[in-house]
Amino acid sequence: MHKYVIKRLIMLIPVVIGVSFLVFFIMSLAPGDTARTILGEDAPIEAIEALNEELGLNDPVLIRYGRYMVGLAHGDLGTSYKSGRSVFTEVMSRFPDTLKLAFWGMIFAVVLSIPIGIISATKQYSLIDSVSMVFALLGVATPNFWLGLMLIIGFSLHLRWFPSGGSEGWKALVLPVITLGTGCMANITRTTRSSMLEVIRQDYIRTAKAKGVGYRSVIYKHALKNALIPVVTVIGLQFGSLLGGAVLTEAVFSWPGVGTYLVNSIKAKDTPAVLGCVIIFSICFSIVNLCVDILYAYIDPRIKSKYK
Amino acid sequence: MRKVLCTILAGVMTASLLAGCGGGGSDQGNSTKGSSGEAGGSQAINIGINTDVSSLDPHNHNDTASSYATRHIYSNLVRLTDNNEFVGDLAEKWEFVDDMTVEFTLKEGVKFHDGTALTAEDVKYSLESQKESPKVGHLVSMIESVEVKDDTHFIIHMNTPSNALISSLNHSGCAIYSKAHVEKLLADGKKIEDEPMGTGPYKFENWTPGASFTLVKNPDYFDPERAAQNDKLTFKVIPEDSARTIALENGELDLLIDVPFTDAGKIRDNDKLALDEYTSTHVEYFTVNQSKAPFDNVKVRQALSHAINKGDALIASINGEGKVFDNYIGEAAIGYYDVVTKYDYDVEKAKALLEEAGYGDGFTFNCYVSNAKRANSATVIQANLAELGITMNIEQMEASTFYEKTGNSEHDSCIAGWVANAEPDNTYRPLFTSGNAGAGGNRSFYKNPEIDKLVDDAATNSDKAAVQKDYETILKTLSDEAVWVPLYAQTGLIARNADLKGVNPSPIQMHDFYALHY
Repeated sequence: MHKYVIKRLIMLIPVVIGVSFLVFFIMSLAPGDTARTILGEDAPIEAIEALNEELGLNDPVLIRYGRYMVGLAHGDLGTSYKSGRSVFTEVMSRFPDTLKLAFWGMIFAVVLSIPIGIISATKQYSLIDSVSMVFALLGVATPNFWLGLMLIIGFSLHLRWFPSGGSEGWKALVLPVITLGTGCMANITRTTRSSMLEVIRQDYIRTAKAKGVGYRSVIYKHALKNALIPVVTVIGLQFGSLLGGAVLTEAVFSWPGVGTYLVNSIKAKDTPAVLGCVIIFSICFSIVNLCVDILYAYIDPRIKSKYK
Repeated sequence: MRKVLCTILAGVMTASLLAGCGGGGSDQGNSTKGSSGEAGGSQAINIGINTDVSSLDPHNHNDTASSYATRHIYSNLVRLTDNNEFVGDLAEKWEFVDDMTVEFTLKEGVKFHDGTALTAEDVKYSLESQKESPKVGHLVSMIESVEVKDDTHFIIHMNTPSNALISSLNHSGCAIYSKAHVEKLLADGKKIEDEPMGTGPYKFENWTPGASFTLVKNPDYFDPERAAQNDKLTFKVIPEDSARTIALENGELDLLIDVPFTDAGKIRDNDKLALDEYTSTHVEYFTVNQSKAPFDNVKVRQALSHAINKGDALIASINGEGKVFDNYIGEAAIGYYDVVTKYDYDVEKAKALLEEAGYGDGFTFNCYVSNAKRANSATVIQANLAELGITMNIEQMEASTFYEKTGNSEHDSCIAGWVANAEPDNTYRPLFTSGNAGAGGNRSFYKNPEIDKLVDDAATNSDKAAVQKDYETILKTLSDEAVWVPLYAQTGLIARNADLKGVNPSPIQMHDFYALHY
């Protein structure tokens, strides 16, 4: 197991190189003048040229990439073109907020979706199943930003229960967590339901029931454990995407996370900042996936034996 | 196995919940601290803005949001009054010894936030280090050197005669640092923005990137008339338009600077809120690329000027929150004169002019725009021109792409906007001189040696009457040649709690917030 984990961690190196290469070249192919975007419409052409020179943007793309990779090999994510500050510091100042939002969004989703998925599966075609599946469909189909605005209008403007934005205090967390968690919740509910439906039709479940094992025991000990593999996979993927994909929720709730920073950096053609965000996201995504794979081993001993 | 799984899951859940609770708890603690401070009788004003600060170092930014912070922390040698006059801020007075030499006297008793006195050495250090800045160095490119005579007297030697010196010194990029403070920061391996400190009415308290920044009153500010009338200013960054308005409606904000045009009516109808309107120098215009046919033909440009219904563009793009405009520089700007030739909306006249130019059957061209507001104006123009048999294809792109493509003359036409600042040369030179065709700002690719000469004269001539005549001639020429189709002047909007007093809007969007109070 340890060897497997170490091997997977070493695999991060080619992932980071591949991701940085792709992003760097895509950014360099995209049209747009970095210095003009930073200095604004009214800056004279001499100032634009001076800034391009200072940022080293007049050098060929391969030289710029080489310079970046040398820095990266020394653990330096570079300096933001726009602010002149270290990208690592900038991203890390926002990362705890992003993590907090993603974590609580996920907890919200998991705590609600797994029980609903189980009930839907065990009471297939009942009223509760139909209602929860309609809600799951709505949850998947509702755009984040719209849900966020509706929640703000309802709970912030009219009821005044929660603030409309910001990240201070637990109250500020409630509406963004619901907004972010709803889409995930819908996905996990549907996956849990279909996975459970498949498992409860297996022979061993019928055998367990025939042996006279209690209903709860059959569902929660025998069926759920076997149905968890796809659910854990979906949770892992969703959590990974929550880390990087909460841009709209962040914008609606003025949440100072990495997503907004990334989008602003893309707009400003701030290549080091974009690269820094993407590299940190890819590392997080890989680690979350690794955790999911390790979790498989504990859920399913057959998988654990393959890791050796 | 089951037990192992249960133990691990329970452990992970407990640990993460505790970690999460810990984070939430500490945040809550912060917020409680903040509100108890407010309950103690101090007056804290919350201001909503749509973009975050890019830097707290005046030499390291050239954007409005950052200047809200730095202009309140630092002071400049001169400042602009509501009547568009330059008066001393840190400077007591100044005198032009000749065209290239200006002698300044500093006010006595001005202190930095750390209690040290401002001296001419600080000014010399600030202006000379500013010259090295790629972001605001160009503002002081006319300064050759700063000669310190004593603690309160210094001389600026210029390398060329320039009328822009005084107006530039009012720009937030020309803020005055404390030499000793900056040198110590740099020696410690820190940056100026790590501990911003100046002589302004507010001291820096904190900045949470992406969220907010807070300034607290400087009780020892040198100018009693402009001292802070509140204890604290917190600027909250709320990028989403509707969320910003809601935050004002539910009392989370006291003042909203970037008012979404679509929400202006709603704010007017709300008894608890007030909407202040002011004449800004923001002008939106449609222009064609004169380096390409048929736009090199003045008759075609005049035909376009008659064909476009500016009133419709105003409503479609900013909900009518402005007025149709015929001039090339905002009404509230220095360098504005009402001398331009006006083109009425007259389709028949447009058709006749097009016929005269030999384009009676119309033609096809593209129009580049960089945001939804301008795309809406473009849609109106597209419909107007269709009446003349002209096909205009609209291409909307991101701002940085727009700058690059229009700078490289890839466009046939485009819609852009301009906010004039305190120096008219900063408007006329980039937008209309030959040397700035393309990336310099002249996206019309308009080249006229006469205009170049007049702009140069207006920038350097010390005779005010001659400068006015230069600008009047420029405006008349530009409008006669229909270089742009000016569309509308955007009204400046500031929304606030109805009880909040002391709002003092600036036409060039350099608002001061020291007077805000309940």
